[in-house]
Amino acid sequence: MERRFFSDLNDPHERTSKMSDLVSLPQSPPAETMSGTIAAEGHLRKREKPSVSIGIAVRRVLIVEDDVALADFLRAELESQRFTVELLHDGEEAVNALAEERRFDLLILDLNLPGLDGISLIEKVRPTQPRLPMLVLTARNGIDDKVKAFQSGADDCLTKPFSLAELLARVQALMRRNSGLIPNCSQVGDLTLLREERRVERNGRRIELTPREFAILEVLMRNAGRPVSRSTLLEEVWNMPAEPSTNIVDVYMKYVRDKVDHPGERKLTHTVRGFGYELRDADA
Amino acid sequence: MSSAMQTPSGTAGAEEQASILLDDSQKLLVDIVNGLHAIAQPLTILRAAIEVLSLPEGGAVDHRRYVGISARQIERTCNLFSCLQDLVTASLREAQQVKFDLWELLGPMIEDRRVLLQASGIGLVVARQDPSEPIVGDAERTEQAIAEVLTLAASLSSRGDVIELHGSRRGGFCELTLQNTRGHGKRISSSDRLSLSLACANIVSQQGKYQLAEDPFCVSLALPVQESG
Repeated sequence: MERRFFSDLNDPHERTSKMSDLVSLPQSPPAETMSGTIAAEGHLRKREKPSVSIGIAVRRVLIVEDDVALADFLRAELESQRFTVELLHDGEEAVNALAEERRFDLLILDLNLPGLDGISLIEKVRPTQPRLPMLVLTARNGIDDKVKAFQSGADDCLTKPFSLAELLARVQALMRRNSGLIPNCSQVGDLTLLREERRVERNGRRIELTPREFAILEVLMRNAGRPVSRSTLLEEVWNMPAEPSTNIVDVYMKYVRDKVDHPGERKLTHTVRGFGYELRDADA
Repeated sequence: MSSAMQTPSGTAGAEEQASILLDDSQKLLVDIVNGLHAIAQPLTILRAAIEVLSLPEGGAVDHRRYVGISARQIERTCNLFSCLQDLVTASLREAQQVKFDLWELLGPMIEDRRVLLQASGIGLVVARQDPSEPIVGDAERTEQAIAEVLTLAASLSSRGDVIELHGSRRGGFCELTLQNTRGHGKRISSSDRLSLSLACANIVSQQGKYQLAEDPFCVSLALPVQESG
């Protein structure tokens, strides 16, 4: 007669999975870890802790799902694939998170959300984030709901109960589609960054960077001509939440600046006071 | 259940009754759709966990973890399925109309819950102002409805909260109000909504009345009493 519903999963933070055997997820370019492990493409990748990834900006996924158990499960599976995942259970909270400076590479959302439903969430976010891939999860099997989701700006739709392999494959496809927007080679003035080769040159001069310095420069190159906040760098490069008391970004930024802007060269790295840094060619 | 079903029977004409039936059917369908939506969540986890388990490789810890997840989601699915079945039964089958003593029925359950809630730092207070005329209705459905709302009230409460259960007489009804006056902004999940739909169907099917306020959580259930004299 009495029922209890289980909304929690044990060990949601246990971060191992075998799902890489089902789907080879995009990990390009190869990511380094503190332990120095680089897993081969298409093989099982076990990630000890998301926070130790360095060397390339991590892929950040925002999951907005009101079912706590399902959200925790998806987070564990995606984190085991070396994504950094943030969970929210409310549509309104998601709008706020996406309106903030935080950057996400993928949004996975349920249609049936408290606060603000999924369709309204997409409609609010899409105009300001035209390039953010959005994958809709829905338990509604009706064509209308899917059509509405696509018309609002969703990129893909999956009906529950879906296969995890299919979800990961769709995540892969969306990431691949989106990653095509970031070319291998970026150039600002006479500074060139080759992502796959992990090579940086300025006017023929090879610039040797540590993985962390490379990651900082990669984020700045990706956002060339736009200021990038310290908190964004902290999140994308160190995978740490915004922490006003740390000056680690400034310390590393000085290393990058010393290597990029030599005396006599045109200054490409600029400080944006009270905010962060910007990479731009003043003469361009 | 729709408000139409709360209308005393025998007052509506044939045409109106047809519309009452349609409203009830529609309401039932909406509840079933919501229930199916709730079941889709554990099924998704279950399907994914089984996919992972079916892979040949994997350590014992992984295996145990996914088996544990699967077990919990199977239990959750079964509970939801059972709730859905009860909802359909409550909506389609006539309730019993027999006399029973409400507080005698609820006493043991309230005591059990009081002990369980105390362990979580949540109080359960009962205040009765109703005379002791017997209820006319279905004891099993009444007990199930109150168990569902008590479970939900508990899940929406936090340590230090007090859940109040008031009993009062209003018109020809015994009204039970279950509330936690402190709102926490906690949302009612699709699973919980299914439980509430079942509680509502159980009460309304015995010519009772049902009202819900979500935050702060307050549910009022009114059941017809045997008029004295």
